[in-house]
Amino acid sequence: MKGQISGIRRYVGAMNYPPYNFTSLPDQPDEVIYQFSSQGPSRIIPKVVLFNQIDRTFYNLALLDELPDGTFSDTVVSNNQDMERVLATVIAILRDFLRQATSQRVFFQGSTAARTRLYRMLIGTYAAEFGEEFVIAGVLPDGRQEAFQANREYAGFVVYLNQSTV
Amino acid sequence: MNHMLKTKTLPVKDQSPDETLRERLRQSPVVQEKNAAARQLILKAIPVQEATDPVTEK
Repeated sequence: MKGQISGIRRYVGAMNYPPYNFTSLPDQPDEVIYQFSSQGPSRIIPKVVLFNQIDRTFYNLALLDELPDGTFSDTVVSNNQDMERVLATVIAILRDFLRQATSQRVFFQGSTAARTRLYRMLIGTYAAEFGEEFVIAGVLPDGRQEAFQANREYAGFVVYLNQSTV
Repeated sequence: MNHMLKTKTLPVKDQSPDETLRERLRQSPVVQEKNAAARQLILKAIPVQEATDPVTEK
């Protein structure tokens, strides 16, 4: 738990970091691809945020590192010292996506249980800020969704636009 | 006879970097696994929840 708390402290403030510039590929009906570059002190890592439609109203979000051999990974620990900016960029991309797909819902989960817990803590930290723009649901291990609660264990999360702000 | 069996080779259209990226993502086992896991989890409870929205309903 101590490790988790120190972990979350690292990321608190991500909302205040400037996102990296990002681009998107021409949309296909069932997939939307965004790209940006993580720029650390010693290297640049190409990142992809991929939205794949998995159901009539759901897209799955994946944050991927593009590796030098052309493959993709969601588990590599890049240690590029810019996690706050990466998170700020993902949030900006999510916003861009949902403003174009206003009736869609986006599902995401961590690549590991620890990352999913980290996301839960981040959402909890920014719940008030997110809540003005997005509705966030927690997805239980049996697939049921409920209004996000900071103290609950979730298998993933669903985000969609707060329709009162559309 | 041989000349009749010759087929015309069409020039291979070079894929743009965007198309290449899209194709590599589609072929990626990581992407396929993530989508399958998400689909399995999300669709598990949809028939139960379709009638109501537990998030927005008070």
